[in-house]
Amino acid sequence: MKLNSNYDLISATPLPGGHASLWISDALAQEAATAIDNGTGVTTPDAQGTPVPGTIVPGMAVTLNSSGYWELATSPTLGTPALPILIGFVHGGDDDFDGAFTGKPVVLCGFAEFITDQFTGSSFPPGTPLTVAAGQFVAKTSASSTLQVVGFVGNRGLANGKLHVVFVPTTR
Amino acid sequence: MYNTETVQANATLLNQKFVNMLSSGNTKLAEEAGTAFIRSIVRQEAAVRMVLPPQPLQDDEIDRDVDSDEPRKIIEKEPDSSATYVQFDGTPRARWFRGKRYVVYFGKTQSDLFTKSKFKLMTYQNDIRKILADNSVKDLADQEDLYFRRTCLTLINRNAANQRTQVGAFTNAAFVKGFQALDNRRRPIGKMLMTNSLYREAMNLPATLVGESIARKHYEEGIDKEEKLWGIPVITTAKTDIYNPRECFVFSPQNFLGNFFLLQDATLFIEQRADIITFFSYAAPGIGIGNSESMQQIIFDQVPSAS
Repeated sequence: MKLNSNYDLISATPLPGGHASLWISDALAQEAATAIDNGTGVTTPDAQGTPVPGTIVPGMAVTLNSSGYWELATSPTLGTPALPILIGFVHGGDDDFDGAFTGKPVVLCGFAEFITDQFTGSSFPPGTPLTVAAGQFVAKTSASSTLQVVGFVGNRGLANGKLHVVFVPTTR
Repeated sequence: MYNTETVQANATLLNQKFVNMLSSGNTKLAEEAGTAFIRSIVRQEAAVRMVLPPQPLQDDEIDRDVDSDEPRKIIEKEPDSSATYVQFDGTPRARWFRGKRYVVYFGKTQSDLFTKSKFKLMTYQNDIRKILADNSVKDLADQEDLYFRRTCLTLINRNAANQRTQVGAFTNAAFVKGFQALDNRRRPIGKMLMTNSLYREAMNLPATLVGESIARKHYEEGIDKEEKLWGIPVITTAKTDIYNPRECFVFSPQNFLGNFFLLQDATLFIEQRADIITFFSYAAPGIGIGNSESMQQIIFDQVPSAS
């Protein structure tokens, strides 16, 4: 490779269970970035010195905003003028100890299967397309809807309050 | 310094300079190979480690939680107490005492995962991996400093009227003002932290302020050998991209300030799969500030003139 090339392959090495995903772990959650700026809130020390946990939990859908921070994702209605957005799901939130300390969720973008309790609705037949709203997975039932799809309901469907998601990032 | 983990399929396939360095401990050769590179910037160990000496933790020292398998360390804080002065028949108030606590959480600092074909490595006359490995450990240290300074600023901003001292030039009086702020909060003074760039201004301290012998010494030898200012140890750092060159932090001793724990210190992991060599560095630190008023930031507004 030419030594003055500006090309670099920088994707993080995937771990078992998410080999088809990008494991993005070096971006702050928006709520942590805001708290750092304000000096209080998520990831900053509380009155005793303990880092404050955040609200982004594993199994939520998130997107990168224009500042480069993660925030809860809502599928856009595609077509003029809305553009598709980058959507991933949270593997390590900012709610747990190390997430509260770093303020950086571990987000997987790419093909994967997982179980989550972060959904809105009660009917999720296997194979149903899924969109997201405020980080929650929602069944897409209208054929005319142009909401951006993020995956499909897996073969286990919805059982015991847990949804089987086959995450298939699309731009449609 | 860093530990080394190696998953080695066949050592003879590895670049000999690197193998020599890692396997036989022949660091001299590796260092000689490394010094032929043109360096870009000064890299340093973490300044925070001089403020809060890191303390390694063993498995049995980590505190557990019923709802999480993330490691944490709970630190107990000194309980409040008081006394009073009464006449002889006076009696003390009952005090059901309790001590406060805070928690130190952990994260992982890591370098990039450096990857290269061994055949392309043959084109490098110097041991580029040695340089990358050494530098990546220092890059981990930069992350420690970055997070430490950010936390300090967060805490100081909450009480800026008391914990930030705005002064003009780098003078005795400016530092006295900062020291007195800590004195007035009944916090001891332990160490100062500033950039080399700011520390260099001690050379400007005139004989009328510091005495003829010290001024002469600074003129003849510079200040690189000085480890203290006014008897207080000074930690200097080259990291002007992390620490503001116009700021000085004054910290209380570690037992008044907080904790720096390590689940694992900087470790270099190396792996070879067929002709592809990968390596990266990582560490697992946790830093907590339990006494947020045990620090003072002095900001020098007056930039020295070029003349």
